[in-house]
Amino acid sequence: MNAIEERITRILLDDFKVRVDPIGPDSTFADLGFDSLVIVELTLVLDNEFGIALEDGELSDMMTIAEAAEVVATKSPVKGTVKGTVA
Amino acid sequence: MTAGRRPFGVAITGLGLVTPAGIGIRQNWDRVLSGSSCATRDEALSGCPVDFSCRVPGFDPAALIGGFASRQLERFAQLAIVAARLAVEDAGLDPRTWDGTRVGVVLGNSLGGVQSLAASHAAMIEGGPRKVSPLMVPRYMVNMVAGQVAIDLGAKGPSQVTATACASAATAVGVARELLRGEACDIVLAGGTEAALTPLAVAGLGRMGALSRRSDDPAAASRPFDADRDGFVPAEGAGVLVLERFVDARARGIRVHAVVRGYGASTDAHHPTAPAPGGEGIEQALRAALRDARLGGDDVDHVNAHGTSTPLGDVIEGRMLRRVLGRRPLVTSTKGVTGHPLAAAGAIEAAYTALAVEHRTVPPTANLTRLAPELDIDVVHGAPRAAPVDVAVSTSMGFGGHNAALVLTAA
Repeated sequence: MNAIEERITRILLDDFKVRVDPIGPDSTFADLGFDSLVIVELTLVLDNEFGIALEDGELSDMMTIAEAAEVVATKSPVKGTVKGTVA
Repeated sequence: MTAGRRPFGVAITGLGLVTPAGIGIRQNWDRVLSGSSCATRDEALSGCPVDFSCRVPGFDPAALIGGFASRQLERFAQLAIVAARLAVEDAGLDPRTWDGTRVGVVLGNSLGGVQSLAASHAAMIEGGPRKVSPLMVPRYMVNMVAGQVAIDLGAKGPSQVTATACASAATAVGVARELLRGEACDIVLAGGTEAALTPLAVAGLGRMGALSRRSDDPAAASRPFDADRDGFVPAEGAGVLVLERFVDARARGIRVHAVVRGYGASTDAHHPTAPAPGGEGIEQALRAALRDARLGGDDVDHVNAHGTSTPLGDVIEGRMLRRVLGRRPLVTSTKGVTGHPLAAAGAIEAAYTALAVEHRTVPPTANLTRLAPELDIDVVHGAPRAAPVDVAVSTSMGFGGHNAALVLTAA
């Protein structure tokens, strides 16, 4: 698991209290119980965590954690809102 | 006494209580009988003019409902789900095997998910509309609690949320009884929930002048019918009753806590927040409930009063009780112990009323040391009083001038 995948997984465990086992890079958000509303909520949390600005619709419940991490990796930090950094 | 159709009794076969007095029947009844107040200083209200409240002790939503699911629910829904599960278990019902299409849900709520509303508002002010949580609306909406309880227990019959402020849960019981009478369903989970102990909501109530200011001694603040009362203590909680037609409960062979035999409702049409000064609104509701039960004022043994500990409301209600109920029944206000859980009050107190009928014991009113001089009613205080409680009344009055009364009888 790469660093971004690990951070996303940590958010899923600590913030969203996901208790699905196993959870790994190939887990889809749907596997973890996410619906379209919770995905939008995740977008907001990832924005804050990585200091980026994901567009609505860039993440979906059918994506895997690895695919979401790839989307996050393409984003540049947004000036003034950075709490963490992508790398 | 009124001739005509026979009274319609619905059996209370399950009680689910998640209140400042505890979680479950035993904790609640023990605490209420002890007559000691649950009010304490509230960290979340620190710095507010009113910085104390009555919260549900030891409520762990992640442990009770699951972390992922409870994160998507506002606290008022979390409390209601746990109360509903407890009530169903107490009624000996199994949601995995019941016919969910015959199970209804009617719950009262007034302030909804104010935490989510305030949090998303703050996020929007700071970061714009995109920072508003997509879960804000489903967490906030008052109706959502009936939907969430229905999802949790697979209840697919009629469902709704009643909103008559502090009478909401009593209204819910009345509406549920009509659903059973009309055979729209066979079981109704009826009750109410409230969890609005946020600085915003409590500040709003405080600005109305409704709350006690006894910050130096929170445990003495809720003192219904006492001469030194100065307002109510805000509380949270949920109460759910499993209601069934009496004949169905008997056929099922389940223990019946008590029977809801009468319901009456009225509206003051006087003022948005002040009760009608003569108490005519709550009197109308109580008389209607007694008429519905085919009983008279002299038949009543016990009243679990609305009695919130406000200067005006307690006197209006106490005088009304003296006027309508001739034999000076044993009056209590359990809000001395629990504080005032707003829209949940009617169900929590209907449950305590049912337990008083079942155990033939009337709990004391906490902090009552000197009865308000305007009143001539027998308020139980100091210790519980054993008494033959065959007919009991629970009254509720809400902002908006909503009044509701329930008549409960022994099974």
